[in-house]
Amino acid sequence: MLAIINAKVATPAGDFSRHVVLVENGKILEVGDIRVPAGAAVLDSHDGYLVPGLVDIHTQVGLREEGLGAEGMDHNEATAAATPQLRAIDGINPEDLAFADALAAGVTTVACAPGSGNVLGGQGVVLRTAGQAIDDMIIGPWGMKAALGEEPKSGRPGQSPATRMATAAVLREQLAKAREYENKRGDEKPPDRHLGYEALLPVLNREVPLWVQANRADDILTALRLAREFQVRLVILQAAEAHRVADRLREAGAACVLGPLSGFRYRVEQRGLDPAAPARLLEAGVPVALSTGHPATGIGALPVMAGLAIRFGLSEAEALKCVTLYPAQMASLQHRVGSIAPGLDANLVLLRGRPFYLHSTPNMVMIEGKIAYGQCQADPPLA
Amino acid sequence: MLLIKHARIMSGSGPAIDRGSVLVEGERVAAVGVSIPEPPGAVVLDAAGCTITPGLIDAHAHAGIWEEGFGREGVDVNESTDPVTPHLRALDAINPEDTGLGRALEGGVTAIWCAPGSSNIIGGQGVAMRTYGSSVDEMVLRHPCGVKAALGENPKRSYGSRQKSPATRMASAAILRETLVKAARYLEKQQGDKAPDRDLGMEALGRVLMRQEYLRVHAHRVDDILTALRLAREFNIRIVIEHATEAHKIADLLAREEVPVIIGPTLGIRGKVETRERSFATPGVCARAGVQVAIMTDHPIIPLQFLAICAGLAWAAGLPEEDALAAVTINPARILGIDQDFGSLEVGKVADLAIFGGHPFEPRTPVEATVVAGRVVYCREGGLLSC
Repeated sequence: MLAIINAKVATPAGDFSRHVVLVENGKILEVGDIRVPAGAAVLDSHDGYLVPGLVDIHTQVGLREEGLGAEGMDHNEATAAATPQLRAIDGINPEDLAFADALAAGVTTVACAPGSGNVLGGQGVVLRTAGQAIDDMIIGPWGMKAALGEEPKSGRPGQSPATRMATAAVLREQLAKAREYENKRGDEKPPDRHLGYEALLPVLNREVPLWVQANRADDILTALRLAREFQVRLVILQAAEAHRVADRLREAGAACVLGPLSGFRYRVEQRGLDPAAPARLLEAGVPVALSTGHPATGIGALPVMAGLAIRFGLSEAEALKCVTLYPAQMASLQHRVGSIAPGLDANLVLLRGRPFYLHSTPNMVMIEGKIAYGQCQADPPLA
Repeated sequence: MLLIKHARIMSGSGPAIDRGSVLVEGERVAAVGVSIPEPPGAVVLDAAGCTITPGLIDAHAHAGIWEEGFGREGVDVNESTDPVTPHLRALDAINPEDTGLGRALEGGVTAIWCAPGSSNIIGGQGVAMRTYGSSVDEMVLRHPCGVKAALGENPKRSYGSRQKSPATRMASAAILRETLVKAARYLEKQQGDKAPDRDLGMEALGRVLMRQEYLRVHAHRVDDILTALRLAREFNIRIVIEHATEAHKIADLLAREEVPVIIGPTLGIRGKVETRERSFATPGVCARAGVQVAIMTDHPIIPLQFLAICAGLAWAAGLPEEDALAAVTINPARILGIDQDFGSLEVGKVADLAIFGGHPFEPRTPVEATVVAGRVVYCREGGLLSC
């Protein structure tokens, strides 16, 4: 057992309290004003701030590798409009430099998903950021990546989709066929296996969300229309103009992943990007996660994104939740990651100062009870 | 007259003043100090809780020639039809209505060097310009300003992928060398009895050969930086290393040869092999070795309005605060040749300044107001100042 003492611990309410955190078998055992049990090793945080390991729920870490140029790009299978059968785990290299950046910034959980060149890009995965083999890094499934708007219609000249009409049509047809496939599986003569349709079944059965990149308000409304039609759970990615349709998003129970707030508006559809959107959407009752959109900006900049959100109107407590609890909830992983509470994975980051200041870098990053980054050493139990 | 009082002042010239005032008269700074008597009739801004810095300067950006929100149509940055285009002028492609320029003011950035991209060995002539204005000719601070060159991956990818030269680093250096030889010959002829036919590209390079302008060489890897230094010695020209990703490895050499570096963009990912060693520690290592360091956004790679954060991340990685400020104010002003009027808050200089609502480098700090030539051109809605 490990006892972390003398830390200002981020509470679920969003403030900081001087608590002791007990860690055992990779999990958080207890948090509170408690005595250090006999036999526990002790890690003195020397008045540092202890926050949950940060979560970036929309990245291509490991899939679009850094420092390798074109050779490192395994994120867009731009050969067909719909590739739901693809799995990000088959393209992720745990040796990508970005994993080390993530740890150094206190990011312990990342979702990694295919790019937005295809209408249906494939299956994402939620990973811990330390590990040698991808199979040992998996926390859970993420869901299915989809994209509307400019990217899927411009990636493959001369081929469909070339318009927003066809983009929606491809998505609708895939979902309709997957449902038909499921219905026929009980038949006397079931259909041949189709891995793409099989991959869409967890979406249709609401086990995982459909994560749709959509920037313009009209594209977001198309996503909402399709989500209603097939009764799927919806998260909007990038979501430049989401604040313009905030009420409809709330009514549909849809969430938004915003970021990077420091991004350039390369495309026409990004004109409406508003760094004040996180504050406005949360106010309207729409759940928000902040993201680097790595490689749109580096995964190491996730705390900078939170700082920027504060600059544009978010409270510090809400900014912290936007990079911990809220993204965890979007992936239905709030029982594993995203807060400091008993029973959750011991993903803990000890910061040198209040979160989201430039010098408040991690002293120590712990993933499932093991120190994955930093110099901190626990003292052995007193004899 | 405009008096801004009760602010922390990081003037870039001498130590910071914890609670002081800046007096602006017309376009110029009239006084900076702890206590300045309020002149009758002056407009007074109470900036308690704020920090004033000189208007920030980004010495390497593509705002106005790479417009935001336009997709392909907004890109006028790379004339990739010929690897040698010294006759091109960024000035001719700048749209002052680019919203990226307007947003720069929201980040306290008042001046930039706008230049062609790096797909060509010699891309063309840059311009030092304001971010505020409606006519580019009135926004010019110095023109022409520097000639852009590029080594490393970009030109050889741009041309090599089309089976054109340069396809290797050897050819990139050879083309640059050959062009400079040609320019030297042109210069000789110009100074002779019989003037040569006009060649506008050679004239631009002539100014480089006469040491009136910098050759601004895009180089990330150490070997590319060394190639640039070799060519600079060969032709006795003044160069600046742009991007300078691996400059920390040869910081002593750069200091000895008095070659400035403009480091960045560092906030993004390491997209290329040549950016593999990218680190926010590089500016600190270079500054400690005595190299003149500036920090760039390379807008649009990082939007201009986040220049202060880029300086801040270098500060957090070991660059002293005053050097971080210099890297986005006086050092870029010197590189652009506009430091007699810009880059620090000193009596007599043009009153370009940024008023931050906290520490200027922290991501959470908003810019409360931006002043250009004595006029408040941006004031944050619902902010700390009533201007």
